[in-house]
Amino acid sequence: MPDTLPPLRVEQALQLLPDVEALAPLRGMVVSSSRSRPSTELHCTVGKRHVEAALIRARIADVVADFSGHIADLYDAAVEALECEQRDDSPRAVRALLRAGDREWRVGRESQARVWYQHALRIAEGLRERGPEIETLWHLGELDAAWGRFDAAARFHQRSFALAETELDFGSAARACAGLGDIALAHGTWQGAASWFARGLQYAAGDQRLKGLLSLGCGEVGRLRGELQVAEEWFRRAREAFERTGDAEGIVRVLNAWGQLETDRGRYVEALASFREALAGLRGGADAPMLEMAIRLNGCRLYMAWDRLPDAEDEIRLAEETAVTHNFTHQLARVYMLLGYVRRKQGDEAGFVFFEKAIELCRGRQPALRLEAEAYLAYSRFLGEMGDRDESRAYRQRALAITEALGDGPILSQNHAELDLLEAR
Amino acid sequence: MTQPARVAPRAAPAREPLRLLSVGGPAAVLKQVGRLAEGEGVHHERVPAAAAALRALTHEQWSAVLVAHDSDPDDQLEWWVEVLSRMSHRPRLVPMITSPSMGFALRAAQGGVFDVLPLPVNRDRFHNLVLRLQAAVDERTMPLPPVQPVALGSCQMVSESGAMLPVFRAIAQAAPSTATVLIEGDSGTGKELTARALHLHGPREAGPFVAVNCAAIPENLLESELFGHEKGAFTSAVARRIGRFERANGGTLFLDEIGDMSLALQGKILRAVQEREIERVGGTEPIPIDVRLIAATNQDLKTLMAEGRFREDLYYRLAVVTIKLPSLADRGDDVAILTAYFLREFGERYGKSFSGITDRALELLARHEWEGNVRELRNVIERAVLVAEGDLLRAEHLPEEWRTAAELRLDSTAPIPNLREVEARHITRVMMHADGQIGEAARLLGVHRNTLARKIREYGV
Repeated sequence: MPDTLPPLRVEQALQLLPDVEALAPLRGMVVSSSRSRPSTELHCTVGKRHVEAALIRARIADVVADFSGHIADLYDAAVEALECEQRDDSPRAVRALLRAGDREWRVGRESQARVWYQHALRIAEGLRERGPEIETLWHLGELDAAWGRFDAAARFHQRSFALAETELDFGSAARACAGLGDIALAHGTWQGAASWFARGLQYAAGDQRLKGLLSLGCGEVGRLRGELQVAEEWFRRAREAFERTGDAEGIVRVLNAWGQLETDRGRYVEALASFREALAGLRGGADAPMLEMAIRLNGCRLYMAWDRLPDAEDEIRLAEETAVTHNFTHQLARVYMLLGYVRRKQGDEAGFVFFEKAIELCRGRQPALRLEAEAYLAYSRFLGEMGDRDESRAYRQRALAITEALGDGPILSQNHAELDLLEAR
Repeated sequence: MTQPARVAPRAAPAREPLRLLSVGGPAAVLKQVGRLAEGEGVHHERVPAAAAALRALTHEQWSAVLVAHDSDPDDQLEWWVEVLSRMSHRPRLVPMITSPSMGFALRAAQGGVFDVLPLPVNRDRFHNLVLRLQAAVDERTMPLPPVQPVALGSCQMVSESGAMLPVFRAIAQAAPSTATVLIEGDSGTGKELTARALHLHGPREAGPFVAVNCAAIPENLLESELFGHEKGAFTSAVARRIGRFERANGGTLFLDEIGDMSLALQGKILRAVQEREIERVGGTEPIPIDVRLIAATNQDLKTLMAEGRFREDLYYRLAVVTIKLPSLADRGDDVAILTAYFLREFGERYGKSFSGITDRALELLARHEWEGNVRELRNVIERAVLVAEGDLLRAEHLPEEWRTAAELRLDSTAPIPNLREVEARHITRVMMHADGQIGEAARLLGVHRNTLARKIREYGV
């Protein structure tokens, strides 16, 4: 009998489950265990994927085990912090709290991770030793940057950098420079990014991994500035640095960057080879789904530039599977924005469903304002092209309102430029 | 230096015997290739360098040239692609190279290379190559059949199948009226095309044709998409939106996959159809509408009604005229006609021209189970056009897994694999499909990730 029951749609299932903290892992599993509809379902989004109640029931034990493992890790870290404090070893207590924050971040609970980090910072600030504070500030900077809160992230990294410089902790100073360079890159201020990466390289002297990351950053600045020869040289140096330490993930990052460089040069076969090699590198090494997503999305951009839309769509759908399996909500929003873009290129009016879904995902439990603004902007272009000028204008205004509130003028103009570039292709 | 020829004992009488020419590389490699070729029963000769190969290629016809690459493989590859493209009988190129890079493999594929053989040559891989070469050599070219689309207004439908006659007849009968039509058919059978034909052939031809895929739109958006909303009606209502009913005013509204709609919304559709007016979400004024409604479904609405998931009153409102679309499998030779039609369509789009199709490609297309029907065929042909070099659609332009399956069928003399071998092969295939992602492959295979990882280690996949 159960075999004949039609599967539920994810949107039906989620509507049925109250959005309470205790059910969050179960809601996550509904999404991650869902199956895609046949490839003929052109406009399928995550809500339309199928889910079987029986399969969910069979996996309850796994989810509960994961969840209790997670709680146990947090308790373990908290109790370790207490023990350290009792032994008058506050720096270790801070490290234990940071570990708990990392654990939360790993499962996509960014706001909870932030609470742990901020708690650690309060304790670290009271210590005579500055190392724990430098470390904590760096964690907060990375988290806020990943979350798109660039101003706050920059403040944390700057404090971390200033302290590290004072303490002559060159490794931490270089790490903070890398963080500040990434933020400047995201802001579209190439000169600032180049300065931070160059400064970081001065501090990173012996640390090959940091050298690799900073060289990669320099190369990225070169690429975005259109100085492709310069970028190539930096990427080569980054690869050498990662190869020296046998850092497989670092090499994959370089291959990913190289693929983008070749895409910019219009050498599509070479670009594709780089992305494939990067994915092959991931297969043999660490489990880095976020990096895999980035490579696939770049692969998709390559196919779009190549005018191979069916291949672009395949690549996006693979990225969608990764995002769904790992519950990467914000990455999934990016996936749908790209799918919407592909549909726009095909003049498919029904492509609006992807933008609507992307906006919905940006407003979830872990809201992402900057990404939401990007989604509005992309949706606005879609609607404009489909002839719906009023709504197009309204979405553009909403995007502008968010970016202005965030102080993101450069990002918005960068988005415009990127979209113009894509259209020109 | 050439080696004596051997006649292929395994080849069926109708088949053209394979003739392989190996060029360059260390003596050990050439010897190994010679041994493997002998084992496969195919004619094989070897020459030490390109100059001798050119002489051999000028004087005799070869099925494939196996070139051992050493230094500058990219330059060599480019040279061989260029040289062989000028040969009248176009032998296939198979570069042999130690640890080919991803870049080399992709450049080779781009240059229309038949296959890349990693050195040292693996027996199974060589066997596979021979099978594929034999299948490719046996391909015969046929001209593309002429296509005479059935034109319904500006809408073209392509078919020579008797199974489509009732459809054309029903369109001709129903189009001139304003009756509501229900189109039934599996995904990709052409429901929207049929609806468009009804619209273009009917009295509302000058009005708009608005299509909505109810299954694609998130449930919480469908109502506002159909009926529109006022600004501020809900959080994301940033501006007034004119709904699809209003947009279709004076024309036709096509509701695809109507079986996916919630009961509440079904009620609202029924009211709109009966009262000929709608209300925007958050609006207060009723808005009169004048639309012809065409609905479509790939589900059995009668079963849904019996299960209480579809309103009976709405069903009878919609099914005034019912048109049932056959699946592609039931349309006989339409696969060939549609293939020719799509080849021309995509050829034009991508700046390529096709004059023919090989018998093997056609056979693969005819044998495929078209679950996605015409839409799936269209996608397959679009991809084939993108990868095709020259003016022929060959089997090698069609999805790899189809060919593999067909080659396994061809290889009837191969020993029967044991369960472990079959499992290992299947895991390899699924891993390739999942792009090497163990998690995804485990999900497809329905096993735990750890189980799959263990099997991968055990079988050395």
